Amino acid sequence: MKWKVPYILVYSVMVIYSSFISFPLWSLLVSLIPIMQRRGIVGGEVLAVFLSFFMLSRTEHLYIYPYVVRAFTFLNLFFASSEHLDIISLLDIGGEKALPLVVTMVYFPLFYQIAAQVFFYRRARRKPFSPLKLSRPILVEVVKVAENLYRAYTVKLYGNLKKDAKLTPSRDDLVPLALGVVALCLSYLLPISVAGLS
Amino acid sequence: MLVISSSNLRGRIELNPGERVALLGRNGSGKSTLINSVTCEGPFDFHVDGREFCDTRDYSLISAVFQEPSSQILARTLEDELKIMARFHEVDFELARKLMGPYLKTDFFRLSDGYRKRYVITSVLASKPRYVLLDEPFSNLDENAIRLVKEVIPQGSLIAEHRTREVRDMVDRAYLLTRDGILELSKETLWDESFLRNHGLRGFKLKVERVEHGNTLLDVGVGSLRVKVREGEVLCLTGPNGSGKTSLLKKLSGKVYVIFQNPDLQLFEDTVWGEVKRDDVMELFNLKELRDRSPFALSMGEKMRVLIASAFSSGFRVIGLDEPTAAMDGYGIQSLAEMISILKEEKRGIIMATHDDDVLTLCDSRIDL
Repeated sequence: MKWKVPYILVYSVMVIYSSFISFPLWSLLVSLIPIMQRRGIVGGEVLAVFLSFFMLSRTEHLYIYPYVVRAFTFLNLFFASSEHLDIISLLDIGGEKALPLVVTMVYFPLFYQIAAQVFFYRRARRKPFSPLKLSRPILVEVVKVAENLYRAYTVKLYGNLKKDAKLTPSRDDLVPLALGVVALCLSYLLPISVAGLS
Repeated sequence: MLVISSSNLRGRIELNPGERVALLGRNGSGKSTLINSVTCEGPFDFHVDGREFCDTRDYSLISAVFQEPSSQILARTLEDELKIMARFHEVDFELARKLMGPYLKTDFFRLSDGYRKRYVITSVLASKPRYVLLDEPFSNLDENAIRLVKEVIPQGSLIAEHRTREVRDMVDRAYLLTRDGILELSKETLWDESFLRNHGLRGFKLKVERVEHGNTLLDVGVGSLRVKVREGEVLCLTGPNGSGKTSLLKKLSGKVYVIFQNPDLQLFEDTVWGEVKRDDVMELFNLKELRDRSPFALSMGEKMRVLIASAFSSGFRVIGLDEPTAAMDGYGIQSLAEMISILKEEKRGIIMATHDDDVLTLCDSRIDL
């Protein structure tokens, strides 16, 4: 399911706003819905939310708890955006200037893989940790990737960019809108008030 | 007709829309430089039907697929990549669906090696260029993956390769690129082993000297497998891409000094001497002249030589090689065979992960994964 940039932004604004109306439990629950498939993250977060409550109540710092819940909500918005963002819509809004951003986002897994491999090889070779020495193979590889990418750009993206900024939402785009509205309504109509917390 | 030539070289390459042509040459002969010149920043000129290509840079006429798939994608899925390209010019989504099948919407980083090559070739073919230049499309692919890639290479292709065996059955003509010029070859030449050997091409059998095996250097269980290596022995881990050869070598690292696939990610020093650190080893592996050079500036064969020399210097008794022939030409393979001979004479053990038929004659024993 892919969401266009404007609808992700509207969804995020609605969820963030709802997290300030009352205790942010509804906004947290709504923000978990788009990332339910990432069971590890969801499970870890639920555990962390409960643990935080117990630890903060034990240490008599429960007034911090709404901020903790809000922080998890914002994290979930980031995960949902990275999972569901329709990167093509970035092009439609930003034009050719957005193209480097769109392509850079594609290469995060590759650069992560390169760094992980270099660190593994250093450990396997029993070499002492040295940022200078570790940076050499990474930089060489980054330059190679940049050179290849430049050539790929040149041969694949010939012609003039035609923006296709469709603002009308698709069926997929209705989902974040609906979720945002749900978060707002629940926060307004069924505000959660926990003793001593807001 | 596409004509490719250079003012620095004798001869020229001619390619008609209805044929596939091979461009053969050893590493460093200029095959990649030729293909990269399609961006009009290299020493080769392209003429299409008598007109200079770089005057218009119309990439609907000529397109190119470069060597490394993972650094030429523009999106995580082919569908998204074609949507980006479609913002610039017309793209044939139907053709892409036909060529990629169920993998049109699959994350590139989850595809097999064969389908990654197929992804990048399809992304170029979807623009329906008249001519396609392919730089080593079969590099590091096993038999199944090669078949997957061969299925999608169209007419009007120039295929730059040193893996002669893979291209000779599928091309109509062939050229040899050397430092002196461009030479058209007869098809029969592609089966001539001494020609291939003398010009640094692949497709010939290696001659191997067997040595007596000494004491056991390594005898460990890894999962359900038993890995045992003796002095002077070459144990090969064989199997297709994705069968677990690299994973097995990773599990053995610590007991074995493993040289993995991308040499550039395994060089950390600013000179060859910094990597090897021993004069006697530099002498043994014929690296003295390269002592003060940056290892990153060396050829692929030289980098492998540096890595094997540093493995030797490390003192590890067993050395692992993960697909060492991936980007090697015929000279590189002969050089690898010499280095393996040196290691065997020095009573080291070798574990080599490979699916390359050209080097299986080096194996004394095998584990098939």
